[in-house]
Amino acid sequence: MNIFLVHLLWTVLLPLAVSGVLYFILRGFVPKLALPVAMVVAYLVTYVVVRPGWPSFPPREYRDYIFIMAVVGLIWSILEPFWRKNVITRWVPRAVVVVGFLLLLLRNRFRSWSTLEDVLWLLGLAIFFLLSWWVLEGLVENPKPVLPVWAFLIAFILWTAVFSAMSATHGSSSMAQLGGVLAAAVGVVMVLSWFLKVELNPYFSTAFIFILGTLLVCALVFPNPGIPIFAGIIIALSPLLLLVVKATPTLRGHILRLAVFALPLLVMTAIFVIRFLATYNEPSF
Amino acid sequence: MNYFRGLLVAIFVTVSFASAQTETYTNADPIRSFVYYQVDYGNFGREMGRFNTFDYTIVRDTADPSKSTIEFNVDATSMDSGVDQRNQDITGPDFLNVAEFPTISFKSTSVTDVGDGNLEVTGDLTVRGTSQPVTATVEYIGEGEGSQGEYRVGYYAEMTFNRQDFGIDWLTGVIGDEITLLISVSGIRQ
Repeated sequence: MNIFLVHLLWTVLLPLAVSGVLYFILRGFVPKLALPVAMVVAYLVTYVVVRPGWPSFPPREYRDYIFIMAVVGLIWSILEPFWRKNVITRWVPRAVVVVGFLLLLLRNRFRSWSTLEDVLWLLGLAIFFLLSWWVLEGLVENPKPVLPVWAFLIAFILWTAVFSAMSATHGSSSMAQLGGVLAAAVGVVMVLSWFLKVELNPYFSTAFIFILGTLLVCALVFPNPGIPIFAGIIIALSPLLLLVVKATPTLRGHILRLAVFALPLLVMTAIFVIRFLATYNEPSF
Repeated sequence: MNYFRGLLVAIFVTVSFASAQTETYTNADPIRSFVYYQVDYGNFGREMGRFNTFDYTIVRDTADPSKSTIEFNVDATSMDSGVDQRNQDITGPDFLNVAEFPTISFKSTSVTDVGDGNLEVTGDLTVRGTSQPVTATVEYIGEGEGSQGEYRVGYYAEMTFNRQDFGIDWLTGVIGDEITLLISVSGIRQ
C-alpha cells in the first residue's frame, strides 16, 4: 500500500477508534472527563504510532513538547478546579505555565534571535495562547453555550483542519499530520457528545487548547518559512468571532455565527493553498 | 648532574621533534572542499545534495597517525539539494530541524592508519542534537605545494549512518534510512 495512504489511515482511523472506544468506556465513570481524556489519549497513542516512538524525556526539541503539553493540558484541566476560585487564581497560574512552557520550547531559538526578538516572540505567543484559551473557555463555559454541539463540531474540525492545511503548506507535514490527528480525535468525541446530548465543558477546552496552542506555536516558529504571523493570529483568534457575533440562538443564527467564523479562515487557507500549488515546481519527495 | 642535564636536553629535543610532526590543516580555501550527502529515494533512486558552509580542523601527526584528530562543523542551514522546496523540507522540523539544531558536527575519538596514508576515523557525529559514534573511511589523496605557495593535504572521506539513530524518522519507507556523507577536503597547512 502507498506509504502516504498508510500515514493517512493511521492519522484518521487510529484516533477515531481510540477516542470512540475510550469515550464509551469512560462516560459511565467520569462523565465530565470522558471527553477530554478520550481526545488526549487518542492523540497521544496516535502520536507514538505515527512518529514513530516515544518522545525524549526530559524534552529535547519541539516535538517532545507537543506530546508533553498534551499530557500537561489534560492534568491541568483535571486539577485546575481545585485552585480556581477567582480571576487571579485562574489566570496567574495559567500565565505562569504558558510562559514557562514557551521559555523551555524556545530556548534553542533564543540563540538565533536578538534580545528584543526573544521578548517580542515570548510575549506575543504567550498573549495569543492565553487569549485563545480565554475565548475557547468563554465559548463552552457560558451558562448557556454560545453554540450547540453540532455547530461546535463543525467549528473545531474546521479550526484544526485549517491549521493542518496551513502547516502542510508552510514547511511541516508532520505538524499537519498531528493537526489531522487532533481533528479526528475531536471529531469523534464531539459526534458522540452530539448524539448523546452531552454539553462541552472547560475540561475539554483546556485540554484542547494545550494541544492546538502548542502545535500552532511550533508551526509559527520552527519551519522555514513557518506559518506567517498574521495567519497565526487569524487562526488563534478566529473563535473570537463566534463570541462577538450577535445572533439569535436559532438554526439560522448558528449558521450565521459559523459563517462569520469560517470566512476569514477559509479565504486565508484558499489563498495560501493556491499560492503554494502555483509555486510548487515539483514534489519534494 | 650532567646526566640529568643531558636527560632534560634529550626530552626537550624529543618533544620538539614530536611536535614538529604535528601539522594543522583548515578550510582556509573553502571552494576546494566539499560536503555532499546521499540518501536513497524508495527502491528506485538515490538523491544527492550538498552543504555549502562548513569548517574543519585536521591535526595530522605524521609520525603517529593514531594521534591525529579531526573536527568538522557543518552549517546545516546551508543544505542545498538544488530544489528550493526540498531544501525547506529537509532543513525543516520534519528532518534536520535546523531552527533548533543548526550545526552538524563530527569530532574524532580514534584514528587508525590502514596503510598508504589512508585512515579509519571513528568519532562522535552530532545530527539534530543527537550524538552517536560513527566510523569514516578516509582516503589519502596526496599533498604538496599549491599555486599560491600554500601547503595542502587532500583527503576524501565517507561516513554512513542510520538517520533514525539521530531521531530523523519522518517518511521512513519513502526516504532511505541510511545517509552517507561524502567529504572531500583540500586543507591548507597553518
